Amino acid sequence: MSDDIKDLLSRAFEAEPPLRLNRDEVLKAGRKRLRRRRFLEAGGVTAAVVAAVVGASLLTGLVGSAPEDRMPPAASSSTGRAPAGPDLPLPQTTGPSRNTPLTREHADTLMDRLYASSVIKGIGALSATQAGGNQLTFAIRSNAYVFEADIATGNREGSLQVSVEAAGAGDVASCEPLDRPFDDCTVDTSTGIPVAMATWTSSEGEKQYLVLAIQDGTKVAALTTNLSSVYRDKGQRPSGEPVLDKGQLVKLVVYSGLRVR
Amino acid sequence: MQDRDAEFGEFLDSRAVVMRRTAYLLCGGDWHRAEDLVQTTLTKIYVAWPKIRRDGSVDAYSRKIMVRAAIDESRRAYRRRESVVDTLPETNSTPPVGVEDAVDVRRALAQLPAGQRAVVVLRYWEDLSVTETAQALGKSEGTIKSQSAKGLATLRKLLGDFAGAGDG
Repeated sequence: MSDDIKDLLSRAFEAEPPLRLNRDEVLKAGRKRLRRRRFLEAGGVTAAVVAAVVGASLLTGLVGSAPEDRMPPAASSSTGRAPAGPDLPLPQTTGPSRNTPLTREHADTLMDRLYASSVIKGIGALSATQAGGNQLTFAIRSNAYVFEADIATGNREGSLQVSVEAAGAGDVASCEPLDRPFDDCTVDTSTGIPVAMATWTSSEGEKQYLVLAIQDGTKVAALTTNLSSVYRDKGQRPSGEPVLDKGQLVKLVVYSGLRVR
Repeated sequence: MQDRDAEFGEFLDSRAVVMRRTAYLLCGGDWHRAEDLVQTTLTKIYVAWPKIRRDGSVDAYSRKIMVRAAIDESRRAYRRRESVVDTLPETNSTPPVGVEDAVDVRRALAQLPAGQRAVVVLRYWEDLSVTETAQALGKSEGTIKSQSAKGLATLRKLLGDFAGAGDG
């Protein structure tokens, strides 16, 4: 019966003219619409970003800080916002290679590459966080591109942060910047380059994995937890393993093509 | 941005013709409007490309965008000036074989309200289930069933020679 109706509808296509749609014009219109949307969104999220910075939430306030500054906060009561864990090792010094201008366009390219990675394709839903500017995109902060999102897989929830920044000449990944507060760190070379992998566990049950790699003049760090920002804000105590494992983080930082330029 | 453009461009090349056919039916049979509708839809898809590609929902999203844009446009008064008329202008030329049928179907589709037309197109051209159609249009399944039945009844009345179908 449905086939009869479909056949009937298909009769409407007699004398179908050739397609005149111009690919370049569509792309141009799409880019224009994208720019306009970002412009409008920028005003809306400013307050949220300011609040995140003032609240010393994840990924902020690390520039030039001593390792002690990155110690996890003291355990708090089970009510209110759960304490934040360690942060990604964002830029600490300046140097010639760190002067690469960061652009919104390249942030989009990084986003495309992140989405194209097998790790991200293989997991469940990603959702924007307030600390990430309520957008699923790389933000530009402290000379680094920073992405943050909550992740839900079939049976786990947590968050993922990724930072991409210029590395100094001769820099290689090591455990030195990860000594504290991470409670263990090893350097793995099975991928052909040194990859630092660290773990942090809080008394509240939060567990984080951080993986850091440096290649092609780019330092890429990825951190995953077993506590989403939503549950963190609710003060919930997490349990279990982070939403991604270290192997997935290694794939993300080594093979996803995340480069600062 | 280059990655996005390249991937989106491939999608555009492979889907534009199919999308225009669906748009043509949604518009009630107007190739110019159909092409405008496809361009509008593709522009919106471009903006959301990374997300919908990650979610694997490109087709569902494009369908939703297109059908809602078609309904929105049909509500705009100025569109009525350009909509397909019931009576075609007189012509001395003999239409090619098949064109008369096409005109009949086109005319019948154009007489359906935009919402009913969208339901018929999604259900019977795009082969969506009642549930999927309801999700695409943001309506209840009951509404989809009744709109579908009404739309088919109208087409049957106008075209006469095809068997009606219910939602089962």
